[in-house]
Amino acid sequence: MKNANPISLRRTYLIARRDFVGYIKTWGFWLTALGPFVGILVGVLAPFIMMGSEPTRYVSVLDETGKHARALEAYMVEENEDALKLAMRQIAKYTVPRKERDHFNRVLDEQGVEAARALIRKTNPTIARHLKLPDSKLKFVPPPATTLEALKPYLDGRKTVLADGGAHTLDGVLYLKARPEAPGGVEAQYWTIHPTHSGLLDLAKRYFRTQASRGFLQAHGIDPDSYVKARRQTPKITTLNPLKTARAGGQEVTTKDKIPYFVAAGFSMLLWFTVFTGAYMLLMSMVEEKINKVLEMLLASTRFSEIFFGKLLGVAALTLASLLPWIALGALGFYGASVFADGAIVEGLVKAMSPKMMIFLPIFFVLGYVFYGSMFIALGALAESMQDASTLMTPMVLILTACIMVVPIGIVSPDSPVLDIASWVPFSAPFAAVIRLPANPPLWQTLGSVSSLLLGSAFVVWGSSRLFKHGVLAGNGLAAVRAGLKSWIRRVVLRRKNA
Amino acid sequence: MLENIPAPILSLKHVRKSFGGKPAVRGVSFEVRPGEIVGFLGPNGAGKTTTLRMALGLIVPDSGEIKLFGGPPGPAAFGRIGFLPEERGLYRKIRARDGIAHIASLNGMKRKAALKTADAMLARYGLGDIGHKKIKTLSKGMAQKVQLIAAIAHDPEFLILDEPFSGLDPVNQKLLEDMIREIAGRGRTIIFSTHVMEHAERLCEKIVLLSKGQKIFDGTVSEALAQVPCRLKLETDDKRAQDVLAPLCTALRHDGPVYDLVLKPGLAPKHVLAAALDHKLALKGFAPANPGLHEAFVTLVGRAGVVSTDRETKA
Repeated sequence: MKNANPISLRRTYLIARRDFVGYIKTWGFWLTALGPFVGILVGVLAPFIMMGSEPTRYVSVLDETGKHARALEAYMVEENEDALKLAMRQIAKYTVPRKERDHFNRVLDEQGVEAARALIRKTNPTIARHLKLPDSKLKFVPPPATTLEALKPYLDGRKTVLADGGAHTLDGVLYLKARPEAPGGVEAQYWTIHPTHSGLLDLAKRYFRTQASRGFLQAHGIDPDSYVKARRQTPKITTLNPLKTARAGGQEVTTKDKIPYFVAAGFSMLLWFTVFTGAYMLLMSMVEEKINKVLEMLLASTRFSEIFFGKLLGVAALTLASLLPWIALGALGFYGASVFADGAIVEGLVKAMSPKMMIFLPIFFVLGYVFYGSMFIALGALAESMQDASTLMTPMVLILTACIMVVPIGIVSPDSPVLDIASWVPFSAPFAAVIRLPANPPLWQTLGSVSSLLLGSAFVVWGSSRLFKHGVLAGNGLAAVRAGLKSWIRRVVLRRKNA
Repeated sequence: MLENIPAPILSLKHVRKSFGGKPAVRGVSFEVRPGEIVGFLGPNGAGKTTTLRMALGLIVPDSGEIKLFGGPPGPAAFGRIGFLPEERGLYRKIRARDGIAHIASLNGMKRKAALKTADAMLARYGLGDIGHKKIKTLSKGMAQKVQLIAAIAHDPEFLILDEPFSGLDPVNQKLLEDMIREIAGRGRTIIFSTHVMEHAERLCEKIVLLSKGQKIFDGTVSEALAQVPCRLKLETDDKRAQDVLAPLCTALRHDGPVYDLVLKPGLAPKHVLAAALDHKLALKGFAPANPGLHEAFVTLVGRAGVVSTDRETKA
């Protein structure tokens, strides 16, 4: 229906507000919004919970060779210390100031864990207090019998060993018998009634592998420690970029140069996620309102266009709100990196937020959202049920999935012709153009992507609003569109042919 | 004299609409004038909903002319009309007062005033305690009332109700009828569709009958009832009754002394009584039957000879 009156901003706002408030009050929204924090919390706590819930396993080694039992225990202690060192190195990234980091690593390597802990204590005494090796869940007890047969009752619970002030059954027994013809001169058997408890078995495998390597090197007159040191003495290969000027920090390609590509990939993924989440919410909101006949009631007091744009705005605000935790995490990460991370990372992040990125990223975000959001509104208006909605959504999901494939291509080959073409096609343009930005494509190409997407969005908004009107008011959505199309072909195409 | 007749709020002239080649509304014309309660009657599939949607501007007619408040239906009438769709038309997960206030706000009320009005109206119609309940938790009757309140909260001049009584039990139907009477009592104009003639009989001054997309009657209830041939029951033991009554009837049946008569057009029970007295028939019983709108509808459909095929003759 033609009407020259302008769109009422108030009614558009009211529609947007209703969609925003309606969703923000649901459990689903808060689960999505708080998902990242819950995920991180679970990710951080899960290993500790798993470690805490795992009972101590009491094991024995019946070593008839007399060579390996003590060595195996010492190997376990050594492994645990290495694990603690690794953990301390990671923690130091966030607790030891950047300029003292190298000194810390040197102290850890040369003077050991305690000296390194003292360094952390200077800057963060609380963390240092908690930095200790957790009690090992694998405890060696001397074999309570001297033969394998005599040990078996300790495995199946008929007999127990005394350890840590209590009586325990043995979880496993490693039986080592000298056999010169066997590899390593040892025949090893692992006895247990718990096939899934493999702590001692895995430890023994790692131990024998290390022993075999060391034995091989020594047999050939090579000191194993010297061999490890020698491997570190490989030549350093420097990557250089002739386009970089010596004045701007040299021509060497560093982490700083790679980060913008990963940041752009992150933005591209974020845009994809926004489009997918927002468009899905729009589709569901439309279907729900259509099924509940809310749209009919609204249309008695609101224009099509006001509902259409109100929904786009409301869901955009909602999507932004659901992304806030991610944005907050990103900001926190950026802050953390600026304080603790390698200087190159900070410089890389700053480089990633180039003026081009700052200008074009919001444009592609808005246009990409409008392009897909409009399409999903129209699809929602055509659907008569949730099943219809799923059917209509499938091709769109396939298209979106195909579009996200540009991200890995963009990281590895930002000059790929696939990416070049994708940045001109409205469906993939927002994702492809964003990921190309760090490679500094000619400005006309980026503007071309914007234009293509702008035209595509305008066409989609126009077509979607027509489909929306038709789908909502014809009453039987898809069937009505099919009937309308048939009628149009009959009237226009066939008549023209006949003429 | 013509100047005294108020301009119609809604006027339809020769309106037609087809869906996928199937005609839904065929050349319907009628008017709704200020202050009227108009019953829009017809069986399911008669084209009532399509006509009302066209009247609101939700669907564009294929041909014909529709005027709402003197102009084309659409945005110009926003805020002046209240609409109750055939099925529930409110958000399920919203609180009743918020749902009412949302529609009232879209119709031009300020948010705070809309909420205040919502509370006041819920209280006035005995629903004060459900204002903070979600729509999905309400019974169908309550939800229907909430929806009607949403349609009238902004005090529209013209109310379009599509099957407002559908699916309600008799108690809730009565409550809804009372609400409609109360709204009409404030001078508002109402058109409501229904396929249950009794509602229209009780509520309306004027009715429009629709069958298979065609209008078959447009007038007052009494005019519609006048279209129905008069029926009466008469009881007499006189053997001459058959001969005396036959010239007055289009149909005459009798079971012993009880005669069931359908009178010829233009004849009233008084004419039968006069004939009986003239022939000195000893009457033991005389009971004229009051025709209902249902009979009027059946008669009018039969008289109009509405085309039963779905294929429309090209105009």
